[in-house]
Amino acid sequence: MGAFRRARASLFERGSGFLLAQTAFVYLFLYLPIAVLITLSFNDSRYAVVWQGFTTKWYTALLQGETVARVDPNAAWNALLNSVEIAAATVVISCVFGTMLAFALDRYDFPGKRLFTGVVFMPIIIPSIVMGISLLLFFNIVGIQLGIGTAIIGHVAFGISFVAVVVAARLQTFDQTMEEAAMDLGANELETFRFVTLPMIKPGILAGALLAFAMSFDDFVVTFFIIGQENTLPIFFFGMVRQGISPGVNVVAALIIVVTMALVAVAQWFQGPTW
Amino acid sequence: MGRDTNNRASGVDAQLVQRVRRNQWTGAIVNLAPSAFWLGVFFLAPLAVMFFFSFGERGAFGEVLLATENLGFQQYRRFFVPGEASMLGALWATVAWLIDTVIPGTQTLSSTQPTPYVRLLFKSIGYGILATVVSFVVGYPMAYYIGHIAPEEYQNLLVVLVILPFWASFLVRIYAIQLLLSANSVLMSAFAVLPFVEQGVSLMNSQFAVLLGLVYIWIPFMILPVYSSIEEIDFTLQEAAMDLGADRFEAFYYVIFPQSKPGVMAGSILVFIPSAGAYVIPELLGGTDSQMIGNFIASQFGSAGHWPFGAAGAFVLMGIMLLSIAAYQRGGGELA
Amino acid sequence: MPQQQSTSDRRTFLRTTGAVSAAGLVGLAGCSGGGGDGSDGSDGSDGSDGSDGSDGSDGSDGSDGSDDGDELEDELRIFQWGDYWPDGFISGFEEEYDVSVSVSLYSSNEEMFNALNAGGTGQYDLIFPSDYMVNILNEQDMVQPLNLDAIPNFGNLSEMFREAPYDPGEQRFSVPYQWGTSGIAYNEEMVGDIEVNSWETMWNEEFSGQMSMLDDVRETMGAALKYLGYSLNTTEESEIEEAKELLIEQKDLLATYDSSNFPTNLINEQLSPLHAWSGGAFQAYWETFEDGSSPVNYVIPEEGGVVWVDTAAITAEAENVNAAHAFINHFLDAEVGAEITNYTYYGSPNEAAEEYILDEILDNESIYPDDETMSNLEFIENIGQATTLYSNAWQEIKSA
Repeated sequence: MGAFRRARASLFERGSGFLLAQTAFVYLFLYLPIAVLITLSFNDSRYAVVWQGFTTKWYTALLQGETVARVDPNAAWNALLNSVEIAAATVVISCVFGTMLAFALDRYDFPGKRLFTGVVFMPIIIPSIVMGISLLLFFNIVGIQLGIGTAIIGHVAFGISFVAVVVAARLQTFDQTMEEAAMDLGANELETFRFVTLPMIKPGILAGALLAFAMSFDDFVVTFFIIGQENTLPIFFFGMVRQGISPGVNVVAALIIVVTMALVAVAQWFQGPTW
Repeated sequence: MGRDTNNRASGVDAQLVQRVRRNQWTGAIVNLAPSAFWLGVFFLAPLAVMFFFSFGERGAFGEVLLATENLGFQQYRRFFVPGEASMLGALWATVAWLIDTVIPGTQTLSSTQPTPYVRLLFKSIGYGILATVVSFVVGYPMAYYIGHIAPEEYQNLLVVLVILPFWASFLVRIYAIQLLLSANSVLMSAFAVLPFVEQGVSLMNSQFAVLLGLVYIWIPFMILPVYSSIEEIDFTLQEAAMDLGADRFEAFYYVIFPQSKPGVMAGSILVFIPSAGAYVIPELLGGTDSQMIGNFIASQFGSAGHWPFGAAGAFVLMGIMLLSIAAYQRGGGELA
Repeated sequence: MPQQQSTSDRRTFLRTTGAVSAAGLVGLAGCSGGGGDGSDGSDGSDGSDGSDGSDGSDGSDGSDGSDDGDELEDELRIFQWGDYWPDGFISGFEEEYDVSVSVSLYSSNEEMFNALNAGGTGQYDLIFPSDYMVNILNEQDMVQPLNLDAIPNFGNLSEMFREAPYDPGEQRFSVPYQWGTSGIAYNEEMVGDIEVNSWETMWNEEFSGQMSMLDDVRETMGAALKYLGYSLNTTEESEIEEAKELLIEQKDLLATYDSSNFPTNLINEQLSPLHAWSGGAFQAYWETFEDGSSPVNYVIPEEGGVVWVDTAAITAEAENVNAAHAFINHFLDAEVGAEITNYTYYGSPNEAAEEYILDEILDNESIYPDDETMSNLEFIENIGQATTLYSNAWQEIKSA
C-alpha cells in the first residue's frame, strides 16, 4: 500500500506536466478535423480523400462571388448573417433569463420546485425534431409569422436551459457571505449583483453563453421548421453537405473558423486578461 | 405572494417598497418570471400539443387521428409490450434481457425478447453513459489545467478555443471525421505504421466510430462547466490539507474534487443527454448495428410517417432521462 | 428520396468536352436572386425577415380563388430540393415573367411534408414532391387540382408520364419534373470487372463488409421484394416477412445502411457494390471520369426496381396560383426541359424535349433503360396502413 501511495503521490507531483500534455492532446483531437477541412479547402479535387495538389482556386472563385461546387457565396453570406443575428440575440436573452433562473433555483425554495427543475432540463432532453415540429404547430395555431424572430424565440427556449444548468453549478459553491457583507455596507440588490456577484460568477456565465451560442449557431433541425423562408448556415450546409463534402463548403467553414480565431486573437491582444 | 398585496394602504410608498424588497418571495418571483413565461409559452404549450398527439393513431396517409375513439395508450403499449405479452410479461422480458446483456454467460432467462424499441432505448443509454465517462476522463484534467494551472490571462482564450470548432458546422466536422477514419486516409495510413495494425483498415461504420464522434462533438459540454467550477475553488485549502499530512492525491480527492462536483454533474448531464439522443452521428459514422433511439424517433417523424408513435417514443425517452437525472443528482448529492 | 444531384462536376465535364453550351455556366455574381440554389432568394432585396413579403401578398389575396383571372402575381414562393436546376434558371423565369421568386430548400419528402403539415400549406405556392408523396398530399387535401388550360405545354409529356399511377383520377394534382431509378452501383477498382445483372449481387458473400444498402424502408425492402419476384408495393404480410428475413440474412454482409454518402464511397473506393439512386451513381461516374471512361458503373437489375419521379404541385392554400401555373408551364417547355436534364442527368418526362437533350444522355441505358427493363420497374405507391408493416419489419431488421 505504501508503495502505491508513493507512486500515486509522485504521479501527482509531476501533475502539471501531465495535465499540459493532456490538454494539448485534447486540443489536437478537437482541431484535427478542422485541420482536415482546411486542408481539403486547398485540395484540387472535388471529392477524393487523396491529395490531388494545392490550389487556391476555390477561394478565388468564392471571394469573387462565383458559385463553386453548388456553393453560392451570396447565399452563404446571407445565411451566415442570419445565423449570427439569431445566435447573438439568443445568447443575450438566454444569459439574462438563464442566470436569473439559476439564481431562483439556487437561492429559493418554492412550491413545485422539483417539477420546475425538470421543466428546465426538458429543452435539453427533447429530441430536436419533436421540438421543431411542436414549435411550428404552435406558431401556426397562434398565427405568428415565421422568420428570424420565431427562430430566436425557439433558440432562446433551449438557450435558457443551457445557461441555467451551467450557472447553477457555479452558484452551488458560491460564498453568500460576500453578498451579505456588501448589503450590510449599504449596497442595494442591483449594486450587490453588479459589483460582487457578477464578477464572481462570470466564468459560469461565459461558459453558459458559449454553449448557448454554439447550440444556436449550429442548430439545424429546430431552425429548419421554424424559420420560414429564411436560411441559416447549418440549413445551407445541410443542403450542400448531404451530397458529399465539397470544396465550396470547406472554404466557407474554413473562412469562418479562421476569421473567428483572428477575432479572438485580436481580443486577446487588446484586452488581455480583462475580457 | 398574497402577503405583499393585502398590505395596508399605508400611503408610504417607501415602506411598501421596503417590505416588497424584504419579502422572501420577491426575489424568487422576479428571477423566475421571465424564464417561466418563456418556457411555459414557447416550450410547454407547444409540447402539450405533441403530448396530445402521442395518444392518437396514424391514419392511412400518415395523418394524425385524434377522434375520441382513436385516443388511448396504444402507442406507449406498442413501445413497451412485445407481441401479445401482458404488461407483467413485458416487464419481465425487459428485466431478463437486461440481466442477460449486462452479465455475460448467464442463461437466457426469458423466451420473449423486449420490443426492438426498448432494446434501442437501453442501447442508447449505454452509448450515453460511455460517452459521458470518456468525456469526463479526458475532459476533467483539461478543465483543471485551464481553470487552475494555466496563466490567468490565457484562461478565457483557452476556454473559447474549446468551443470554437462549433463555428464550423457540426455536420461539416462529422464529415471530416468520416474522412479521417476511412481506409487509406492520412490518419489510418499513419496508424498502419504500427506493427499490429493492418494496412487498409477502416474504422468507419463501427460502434467505435460512433463513440468517437459523440465524444468529439460533446466533450466541450463537459469541459466548460467543470472549468467554471474549478476556476472558483480556493486552492489554499489544498495546501492546508497537505500541511495537515495529506499527500497530493488525497488533497485533491478529498478537498478539491468535491468542490468541482457541481460542474462535473452539470457537464455529465450536458454530455449524456445529447449523446443518448443522438441520431445524425450514428447515421453518418455507424454501421448496420449502430442505430439509436434518436434515429427511431426521427424516422417515425420521417419516412415512417407515424407522428403519434414518434411522439410516444420521444416522451418515453424524456421521462427516462428526467428520472436518470433526478437519480444522478440525488446520488451525487449524497456522495458529496 | 434524397436523390443525389451532382452539378458542377458534370458542368466541368460538359464544358471541357465542349458538348454543350448549357445555360447558366456563369454564377451570375452579385445577382442576388440568381443562384441556382435559390436559397438566396431571400437576399437583401426581400427585406429582413420575410414578414413584409407576406404583407404584400395579403393584398393580392383577392386573386386567390379566381383561377380564371390570368393576371400573374408579383411573387412566387417555391419549396424545392437542393440543386435541382441549372444556375440562372430562376432569374431567367423572373425576367421573362416579371415575377419575383423566392426558393426554400428541403432534402427529403418528409421534411417538406412535416413543414407543410405543421405550419400550413400557405407558406409556399409550389412544391416538388416525389410520386408517393403526391398521393399522401392529395389525400390530406394539401395540394390543389391543376388547371391544365393554363399549362399548354402539358402535352409535351410522354405517354408514360401523362398517366400517373400515383396521381390517378380526372383531375391532375402534379406534373412530372424529373425521373430516375434505383439499382446497383460499383467501382471496378474495388470489385474488378464483374458482371452485375441481378439483385443477387447484393447477397454475394464475396463482397462481405464492403456493401451498403440505402437507408430507406421502401427502397431496401423493395429491392428484397423484387429479388424474391414480388411487387415492391405488396401488402401481403407473408411476402413482407420473407423480404425481412432475406434482409436480416444480408445484414452481416453490409458495412452500413446509407443513402447520403454512397457517391463519396464509390469515388473514394470505400464501398462497392452498393444499392444506389441513379443520380448519385452518375455523380460518382463523372467525378471519376478520365480519358473517356470511368470505373464507376450503374446497373438496373433484371428483376427490376424502383422508378421514381419528382413532380411539381401547387399547395392547397397557395397565394400565387397563376404564377405557379406559369412556372410549371415554363419548365415543361421543350428547350427549358432539356436544359434541366442536360444539367441534372436525370431522365426527362418531357418527350418534346428529347430533341434538345444530349445524345449521351438519351443513349445511356442507365438513364433511359430499354423497354424490357422499363416494364419491370415500379413506382413506390402509398399502401395505406400496410406502411406500418414495412416500418415494423424495417425496425426489426435494424435491431436484429
